[in-house]
Amino acid sequence: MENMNVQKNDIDVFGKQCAEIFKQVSRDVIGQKEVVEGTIIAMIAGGNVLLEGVPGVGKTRLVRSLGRVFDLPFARIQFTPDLMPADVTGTNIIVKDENGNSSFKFQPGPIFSNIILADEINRATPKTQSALLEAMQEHTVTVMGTSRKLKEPFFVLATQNPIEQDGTYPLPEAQMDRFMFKLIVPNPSLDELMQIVNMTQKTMAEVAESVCNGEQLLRMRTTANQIPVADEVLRYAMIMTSATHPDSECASEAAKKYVRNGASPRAGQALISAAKVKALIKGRFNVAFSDIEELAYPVLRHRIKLNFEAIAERITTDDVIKMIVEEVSGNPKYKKVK
Amino acid sequence: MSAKLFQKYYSRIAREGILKSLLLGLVLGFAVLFLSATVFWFVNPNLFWVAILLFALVTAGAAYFLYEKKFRPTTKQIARRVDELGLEERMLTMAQLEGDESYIAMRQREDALEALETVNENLIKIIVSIPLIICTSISAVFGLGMTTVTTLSSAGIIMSGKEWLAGLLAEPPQQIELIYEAEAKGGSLEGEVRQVVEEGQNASPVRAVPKDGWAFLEWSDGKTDPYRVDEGVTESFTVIAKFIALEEADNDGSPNDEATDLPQDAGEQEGNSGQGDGAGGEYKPVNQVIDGNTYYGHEYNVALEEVLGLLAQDNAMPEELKLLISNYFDTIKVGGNDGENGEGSEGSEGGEDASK
Repeated sequence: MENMNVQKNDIDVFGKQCAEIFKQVSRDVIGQKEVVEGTIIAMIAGGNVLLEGVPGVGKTRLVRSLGRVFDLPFARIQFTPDLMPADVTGTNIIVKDENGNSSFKFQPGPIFSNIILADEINRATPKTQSALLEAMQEHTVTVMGTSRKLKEPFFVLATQNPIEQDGTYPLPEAQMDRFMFKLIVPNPSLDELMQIVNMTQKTMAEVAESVCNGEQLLRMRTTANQIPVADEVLRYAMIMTSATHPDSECASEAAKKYVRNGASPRAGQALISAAKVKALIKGRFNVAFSDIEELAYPVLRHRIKLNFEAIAERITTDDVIKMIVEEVSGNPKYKKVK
Repeated sequence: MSAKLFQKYYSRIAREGILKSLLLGLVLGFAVLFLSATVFWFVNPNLFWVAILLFALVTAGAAYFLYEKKFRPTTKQIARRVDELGLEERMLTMAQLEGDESYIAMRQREDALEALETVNENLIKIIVSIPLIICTSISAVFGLGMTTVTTLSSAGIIMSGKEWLAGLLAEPPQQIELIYEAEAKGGSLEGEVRQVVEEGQNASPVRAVPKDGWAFLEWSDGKTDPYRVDEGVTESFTVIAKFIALEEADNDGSPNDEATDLPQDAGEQEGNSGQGDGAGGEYKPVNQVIDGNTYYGHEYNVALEEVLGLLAQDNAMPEELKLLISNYFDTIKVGGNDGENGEGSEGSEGGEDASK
């Protein structure tokens, strides 16, 4: 196994840094524990996150705060219908040298940063949205035939508004699949709301301090990757993914009834990567069935395409995932050990 | 290492495996017991002990085989059961990482052992599925039930399978339908007029009852007794009770007699007949059944004299029997042959009545 390079120090550092990251983020973001945890898990696991919530619930603030905590260059792209791909990736411009000779020089776009906040990503045209595809998956950008590698670690943290759908372009499935998690940012509770208002009366600025740099984050990712997964747990995660397909061998009844397209293999990869991080954050050195069940929601909710019957019955993706999780977890043969 | 660590859990989970193997073995054993006992019930019930022997062999063999091949717990299975106590797959992962000496594997092991201290083997419940218990119970009922049948059969208390089968295959008795009808103008029937009886059985009694002014003549199959009980019937039939008007009977008997209007009783009829004989000379009203009684006509006196003569000559006959025969003649004279009395006097009156 590759875990020879993980040392005691790595484990200890991981635990300490995680605790510090949560502490610092909580200074800027009140409540939203699941969203904060999900975003941090995805960042450690190396995945992109799509945050969905109504305006004013702290999506952008969370991303900015994370940028500060991780001490990483942060770029914000406000997606609008007239945003062009070159505005995201950068473009070649003509420059004149001292001798007056003209030449092309690549002017990097905002994507050449470590943390990208793609604000209201669904307001840009599909063409511009697609400019992110390569960056999100391969961490490279190709402009005029030249591929340029992005700096590591690289994350896209996108936000979108579930209401006000006029003039928006729903993200294509291929793009959706490149987000490790889709997190629903709920409205704060009454207590949280009071704390938010109290805090912002003093200052609107983020106060979180940097506790981790890019290099340390990559080391944390390497450490989490070494967390062992029992064969049965791995199989269980794959069954969970496969159960979303209405025509797979272990298709769930919910999928057969309500799902048009199930989750891709990327969902299985995301489940395991994220489960390792989650286990380590909890202080466990192995992935449990419960980790898979908890992470099924953020991993699968944007990867499942519901059919007309589900829409007609006002069944949401989360409802379907709940049914699938209950069905898979309730079936003893899926957890059976040979 | 894992095997040692799980030793105390092994014995508990192994007990569950043994129990499951035994129950499944019993299911198979009882199935064999049922089948063999059934066969012996048909072939030779005295061999019921062979069925019991087979049951014991199959149960023991199947239980052993199932335990060895299916229910003997593996290290991973024990780890999984221990994990179910809330250890979140720590034991399962530890069992998989056995022999791995990397740092992360060691940390995982430490973590697992630490968690293991929070549980003990008594928390593991022995689980046997209810369907398995039901299956065993059902097979036990069938197996033991059939063995009991075979044993009782061997003791001669109940029939053997062969006998039972022979009885089962025998043709059911044929149903015979008997229909009794009456000529509606002359009378009616008492009793069950439509009967369905099994072949060879007796029918219930039926009586033909004539209306006033009518007399029972006979059944359509020739029987003359108005009261009939058909015994040992072998085929379906329909019989009709025939009646005759008393006037009609007299007219038929003396077609040339001028005094055609018959009196109401047989005595008068006899009287008329006597007169008729004198005139027409052809009518012999012998053995006619009128109003349920046999009318002997002129033959009565002849027969009576003949019988009395014979009785007088027969010294061997007991006096009681002679008296009985004598009484019989008296009876038929009174019951059906009042005309005898009126042959001289009432018959003349009857003749007079008729001529009126």
